[in-house]
Amino acid sequence: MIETIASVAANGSTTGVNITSALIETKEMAGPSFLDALKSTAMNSVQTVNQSEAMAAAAMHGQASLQEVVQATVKAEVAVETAISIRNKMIESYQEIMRMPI
Amino acid sequence: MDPISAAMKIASSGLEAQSLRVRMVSENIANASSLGSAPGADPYRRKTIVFQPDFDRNLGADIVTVKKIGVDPGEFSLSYDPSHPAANADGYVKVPNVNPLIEMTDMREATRSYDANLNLIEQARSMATATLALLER
Repeated sequence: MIETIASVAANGSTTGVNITSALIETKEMAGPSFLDALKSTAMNSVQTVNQSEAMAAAAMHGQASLQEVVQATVKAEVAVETAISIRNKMIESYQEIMRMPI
Repeated sequence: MDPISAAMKIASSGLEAQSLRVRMVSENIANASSLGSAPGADPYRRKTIVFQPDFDRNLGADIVTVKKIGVDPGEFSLSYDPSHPAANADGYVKVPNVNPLIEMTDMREATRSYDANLNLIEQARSMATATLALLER
């Protein structure tokens, strides 16, 4: 599960670099860039999934309640869905750009 | 933290509080006939639970926690049973101040509240999924 997210994050950032470098070569933007935002979102998802796994492990040892585990898992599920949706959308836009007649 | 995750976390604290309440009800029902063992000794005393809001700094919202599990100071009733080891000089035994009807009502209330919190988690999840569906044309 973690590898999947990590690869999502990796794919996301490379695609992001390509798109940004293809669209704007020299322009510097002020404030956090889209890429930074993407990175932090990906890192957040990874963290959420890690927490959910830790919670599941704690439950196996009888140290976490059923409710905590379910809540952490649902949270991780939403995080993974978000990461995947963003990744799909980015790949779609990348392909859209690649199909552009030059 | 985004409000939808916060809502889930708050609802999950509600689930935990209500499950503790069910535990307390089951303690009361299971011990409804636990009597003392020495003459004139007190039998099992009914337990009560008190909830309180607790401000969670990470969420920036109030979650629910159990303030304390206390005991019901109500009077014990007496039942005539001279052969019991806990019988007093007149042959009466103190019986627990547990009323099964009240315990059942409490249990049903806990179940309903648990269901409500579960529905809230479900609702929050479907809101998140529906929002993400916007990304997929």
